[in-house]
Amino acid sequence: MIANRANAAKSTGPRSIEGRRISSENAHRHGLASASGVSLDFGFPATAALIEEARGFGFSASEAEELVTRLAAGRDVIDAKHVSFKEKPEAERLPNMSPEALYRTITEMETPRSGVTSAERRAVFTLLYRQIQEDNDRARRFAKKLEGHRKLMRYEQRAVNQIRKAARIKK
Amino acid sequence: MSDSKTLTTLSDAAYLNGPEYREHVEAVLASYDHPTGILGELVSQMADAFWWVKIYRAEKNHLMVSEMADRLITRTYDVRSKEAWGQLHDLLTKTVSGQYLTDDEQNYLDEVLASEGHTLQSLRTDAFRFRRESFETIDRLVERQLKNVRLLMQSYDSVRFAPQIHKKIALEIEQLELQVNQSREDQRLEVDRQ
Repeated sequence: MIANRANAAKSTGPRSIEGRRISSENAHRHGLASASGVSLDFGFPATAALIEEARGFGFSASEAEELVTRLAAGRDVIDAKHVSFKEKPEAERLPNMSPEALYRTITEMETPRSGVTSAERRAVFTLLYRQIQEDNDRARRFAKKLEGHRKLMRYEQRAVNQIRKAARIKK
Repeated sequence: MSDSKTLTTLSDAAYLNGPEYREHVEAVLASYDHPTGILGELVSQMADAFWWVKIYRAEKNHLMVSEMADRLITRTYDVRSKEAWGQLHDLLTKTVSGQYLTDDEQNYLDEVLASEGHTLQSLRTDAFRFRRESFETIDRLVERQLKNVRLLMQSYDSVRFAPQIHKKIALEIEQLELQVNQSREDQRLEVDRQ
């Protein structure tokens, strides 16, 4: 992993069109901000059943579709909240170690042929040390999860307001 | 037990099958008489908001206690310091949640507090001051969940009583049409009379 990170630090990014397309999606997190919104397959049996049920409550066809779409959007936000709050598995966390021990580990991994410069070593050290601190401090991990939820709050607010609007009976 | 489909109609995410989460949602569904379909989804989303309130509150307490322990013992990389921190954390958790401490535990806690020139109250205040930003975010998140619950409850009522409301609206329209027809008839008779 240390070698991977050292090599990654040397990278100048993707070159091929496909590679660039893939990396352009790296920042994609939950899709909740997408302008197109939720697209539901109304032919899907479970969705169709919900629309039929809404029709049974007296909603028009378009109102029923709107209500089910908004409920699905609300569920998408809930899914995203659970994903962002998920704990990193214990096995994937870096073991706790002092800065000195980490530095020693990094230098021990190097071979004379690897030709790692001190700037590269420093970059890898900083990256790993930050990760070690985060992986071994519950408060830091919680702060990160909290930040994820704070960012999702506006999508949550929008989704629930839209459910309320869609459920309202139009006179 | 409610219909398992209620929880999975609009999502098949793994968290829905977590035993604790599932139990929580099913308890909320049970309090609404196990609705399914649209009403079930609305109640499930409400239950999710309650779930987060519970989680945020628990995490807030944990954060406070961790911060209090951090102010008394500096965590280093050796095992002894970790053990001492863990022990202190447990004692503070007990104290904050109003649980009984043995004489030995109380003495140890008093000793550590005194050595850092703190009382329990001053330590708590210090910890709160240091984590104020996180606590404010948690409070905002809890507030958001309570607003969500309110809006979802209103939506639930709207959908649940929609047939009756639609019927009432239809009757009102019928009545208004009758009134219009009646007034037209009255006008026609009046014109005829004149």
